[in-house]
Amino acid sequence: MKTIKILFVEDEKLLRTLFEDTVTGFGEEYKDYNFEMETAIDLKSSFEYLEEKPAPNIVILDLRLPTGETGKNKEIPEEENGFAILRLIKTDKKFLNTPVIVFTNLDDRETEYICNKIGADGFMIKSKVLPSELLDTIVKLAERKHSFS
Amino acid sequence: MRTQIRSQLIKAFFIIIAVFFATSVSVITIHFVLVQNYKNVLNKLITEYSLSDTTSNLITDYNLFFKNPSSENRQQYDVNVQKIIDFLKNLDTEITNPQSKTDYEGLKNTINSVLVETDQGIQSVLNNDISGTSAHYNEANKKYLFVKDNSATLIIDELKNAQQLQQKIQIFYLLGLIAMILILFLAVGGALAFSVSFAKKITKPIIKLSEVSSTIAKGQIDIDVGEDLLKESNEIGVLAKSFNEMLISLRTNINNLNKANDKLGIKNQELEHLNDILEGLKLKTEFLQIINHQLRTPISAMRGYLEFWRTGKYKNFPPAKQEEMKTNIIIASDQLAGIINSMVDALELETEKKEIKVDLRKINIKQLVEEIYEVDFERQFKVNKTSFEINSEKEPEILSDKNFLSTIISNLLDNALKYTHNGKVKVGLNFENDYAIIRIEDTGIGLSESDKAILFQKFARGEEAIKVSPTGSGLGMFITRKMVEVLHGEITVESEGRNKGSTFIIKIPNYKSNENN
Repeated sequence: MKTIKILFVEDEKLLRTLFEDTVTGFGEEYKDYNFEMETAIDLKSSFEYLEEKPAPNIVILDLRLPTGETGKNKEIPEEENGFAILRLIKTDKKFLNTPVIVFTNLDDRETEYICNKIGADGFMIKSKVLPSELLDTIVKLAERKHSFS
Repeated sequence: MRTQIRSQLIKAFFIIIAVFFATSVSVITIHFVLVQNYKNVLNKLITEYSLSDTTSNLITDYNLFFKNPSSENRQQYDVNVQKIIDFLKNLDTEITNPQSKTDYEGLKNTINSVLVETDQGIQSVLNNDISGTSAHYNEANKKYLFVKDNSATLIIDELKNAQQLQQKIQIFYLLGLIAMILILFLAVGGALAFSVSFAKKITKPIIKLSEVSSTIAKGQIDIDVGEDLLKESNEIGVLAKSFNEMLISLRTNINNLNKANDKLGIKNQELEHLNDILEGLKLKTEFLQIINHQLRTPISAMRGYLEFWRTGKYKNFPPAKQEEMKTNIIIASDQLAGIINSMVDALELETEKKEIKVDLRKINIKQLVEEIYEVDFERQFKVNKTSFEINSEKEPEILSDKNFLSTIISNLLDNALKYTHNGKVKVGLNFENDYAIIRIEDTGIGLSESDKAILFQKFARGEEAIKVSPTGSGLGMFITRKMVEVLHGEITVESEGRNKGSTFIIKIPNYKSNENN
């Protein structure tokens, strides 16, 4: 039984609930895996999590995120909050084996290009992907990177 | 220019005064020298030659000679005659002035005629027998003697005349002097008047030119130097002509510049128009991005949850959780409907093509705010750890549209809450001059001056607001403003700056149906 610890970065509560339910509902199909869910709702809580806690096995990352606290990280425009998290993960040795799936509704080639350039391991459009497909991708990426807890 | 001319005039005036004084002094000197000369000459002649005495002596000696024509008496008489002849000679030599000579001619003639007559008398005495002397006392000869006596008196009279004449001459010279002074005054006055008028003649066109140039300097170029200046034949005329040419070329240049400027203005307008279009497109693109994002989120949720039913995975959940999942689908569809409604509202309110119907009711605003808070916000305020209070000085009751007013208050509370965490939101109510005044004050992120300027525009989002809540459509405040306008109210915002909170103030009137027409 391999445990995959997922950090789900998403500001929309409805989508966080949906993903939790997806893991609960569809997780049973992946008999060799155990899914652990952690969430972060904005830039600030994401940074705190990544700094303080052990590296997760995979990160599902929304791009458009609130900063979380006024006054901090002012230099980062909201559209780039997700990019900032992606950049942190991809430049820190701590997350060498942590794949990141960008999970967004910003459906354009430019955004995808930037994400790939920074080092995203996957790029998925929220409204086009079914929860089960996301779970599939998570398992495949975790396997490829041998990223398990 | 004017001051220069003035100083020149002053200089000229002083020169004239100096000339006047010099002339006066010389005239006075000449006068006194001349008059004094005549006075002296006459006095000298009369005293030196004792003309009165000599004449009296001549008569006495003559009479003596007649009474006793001895050679001794004759000699005495001749001495006196000689004295008079000398006097006349001296008169000729000493008086050199021709006018005076003429004046003294009468005296000389009288004296001469006396001498001639006495001489004739003497000759006739000498020619006649001495014994016949008495015959000369006859009536016929009496005249002769009488003439002699009278002649002597005449000489004295002439001398008096001469003295009077000399006085007259003195007066004449004085009058001459006065006349000369007057003439001098007239000349000076004339010169002054002439120089002033001449100076004016010179300065007038220069002043005119300087006035024209200062008018031009003020930016008014639709003027001419004037025909009269152009007609001047001197340098002024030339100056005026070149000035006029300069004006014409200036006008032409300015006209050309204006034309160029107009063209630029048109180009600029076109550019601005283009910019507006581009800006509009940019806004639309941004708007579409936001809307796209916002629309996709509930769609993602709906699709995701429906997948549980399609695959039957919902069965893995307890019934209560299944209900929650169904509710989530409804929430997502509500969100979707909400976004679509705002878009429609915004479009309708913006185009204003549709007549907006208001449903008037008596509304107690305090009750309305409490209702909205309890139903839609109470829970969210607790999540944000933000307190809420209503202060009501007066409880405004107005006739207005409840739906619009609810949306306005709801939007403002939503807005306050979105940007206020661990803070306070206060609603203040008042009623003044038939207006309900609602103040919604928060301790949130506040607004910069630039935020305030664009706040009520479509798709406008404050810089800080974007960071705190990136998913906002930028339509909320636009819709709120439009709705306030529909109710004939006003909305304003106050904020001392970033992180200093914001206060939205809306004034809603007691609805008057005639205002709607």
